[in-house]
Amino acid sequence: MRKTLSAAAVLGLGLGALTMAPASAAEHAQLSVLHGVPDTVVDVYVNGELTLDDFAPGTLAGPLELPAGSYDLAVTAPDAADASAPIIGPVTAQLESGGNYTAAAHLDAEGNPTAALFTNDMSEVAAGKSHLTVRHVAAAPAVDVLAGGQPIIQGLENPNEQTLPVDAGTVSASVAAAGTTDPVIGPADLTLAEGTHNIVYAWGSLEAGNLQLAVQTLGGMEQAPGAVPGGQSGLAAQEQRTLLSTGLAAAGALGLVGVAFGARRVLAGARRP
Amino acid sequence: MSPSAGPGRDARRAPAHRAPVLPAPGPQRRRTAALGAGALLSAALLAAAAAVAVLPAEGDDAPATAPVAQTAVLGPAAPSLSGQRLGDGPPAPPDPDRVPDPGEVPVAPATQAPVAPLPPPVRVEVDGVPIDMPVVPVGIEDGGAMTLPDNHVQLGWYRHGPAPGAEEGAAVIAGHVDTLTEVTPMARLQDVAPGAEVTVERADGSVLRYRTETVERVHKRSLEDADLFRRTGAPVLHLVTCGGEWLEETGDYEDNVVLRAVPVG
Repeated sequence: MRKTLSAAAVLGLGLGALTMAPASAAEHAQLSVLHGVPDTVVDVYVNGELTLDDFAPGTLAGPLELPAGSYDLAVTAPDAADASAPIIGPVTAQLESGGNYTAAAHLDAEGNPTAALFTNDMSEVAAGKSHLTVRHVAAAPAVDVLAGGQPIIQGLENPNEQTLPVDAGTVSASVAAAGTTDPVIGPADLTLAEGTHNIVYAWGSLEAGNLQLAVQTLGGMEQAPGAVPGGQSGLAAQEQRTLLSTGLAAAGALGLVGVAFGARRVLAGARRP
Repeated sequence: MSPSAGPGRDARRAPAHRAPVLPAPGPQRRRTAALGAGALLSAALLAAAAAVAVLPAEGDDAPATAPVAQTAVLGPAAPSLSGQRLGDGPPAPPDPDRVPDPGEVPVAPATQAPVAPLPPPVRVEVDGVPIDMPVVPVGIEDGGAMTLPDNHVQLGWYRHGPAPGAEEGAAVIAGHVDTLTEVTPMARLQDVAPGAEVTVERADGSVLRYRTETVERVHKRSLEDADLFRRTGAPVLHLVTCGGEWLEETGDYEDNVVLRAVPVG
């Protein structure tokens, strides 16, 4: 009876631990904020509270760790007293438990200030690889993204994004009008570190001549190699076995010699009267 | 081999010298018994030698002699590789009803900070064994295994992980224990005694010193748990090769041999 009770208690504890662990690990969401509107310093309000003061173009804030839920984001002039007269928004961002997001204040394709909420892929990156995402948040038509002069993403439109796994390393990246290779941004060297997710924002305005790249790097998604194949033939094991067997054989042979010699003496002794 | 070379000669002659003072049947029986035991022992040793030489290395089915001998070579039972990830603790949960104030949120230019890479390792030397080998940077195979230099003279440093001298994580340098034609110096990795010094020379000529903490065999199926490639936590050097039994059916060794060394000074 006591056994049954303690088993039940252990089972109960186990179940409790199982159900509690994921909840505490993924209770919150991570929110970064990118300022991608040229020439305009702003304030950012979250749920009506001033969160980012004098936020400059081309900067990235965060990540803010927020409980999962719905948030109102508003971008105002830097001298605004509150969020009642926003330049952008308020927009509602729905943040899920464990999610990783970037809210971007940017220009739409026609050059009007707007905002977008992107979900950042935090999935594991294969060993030796890197993830590259390009987000078009610029006042510009569809673009191609080139690495080393070769298009790797084609026909990307504001406010869309595209992700692809690439070999880790450094690439010379540029952005050109869709279907062309003449750069409107770059070329610029991008370091794509192994096991990271590199998010590149094309932002600014083609018309104003201030198109540029912003980069957000997310880490900690690396995977270790699955094996270290340190042998090719078994020769090393064979050598070990040869050493061992030689040693044993030598000991055995020596023993037999001794036995033979002893036997001769015994026989000789037995023949003696 | 001449009979006079046997160590049994003197030992068996001794009772014969005493024979006159003892009743005749006694020494005769003792000698016969000794002979029987000697013959049995010799036969057993020869059989064992034959078994080790002839029997295939079949992992779990292998004769107990070989693994026991090798385990003994690896020295005292050492604590297993730490499965802990250090410095990775979860941040304190924020007040659920609170949005951070200005000044609490880090803000930085959305550009890539230039990172000066550490000089790569170019040579590794281990005290007490003939391991003194050049090191080249290596990456990953299509199947997800670490690339190793395809020869018996070089070691590979896993360039996607921490470099020796990095503030955090495990620098992994590995080499073959054998190639199709050669047994390499790394076959002696399992003989390294705890405390042995390991030196790593880097491309800029600087030399890093490490002290061997443990040398262990890790079953290849448990490699993931061994945290061989951890990116965070206290800096450590892992020298790796293969060991244990050669498994003919997979064309691979059953274990990895991992020397774990910590920076000195």
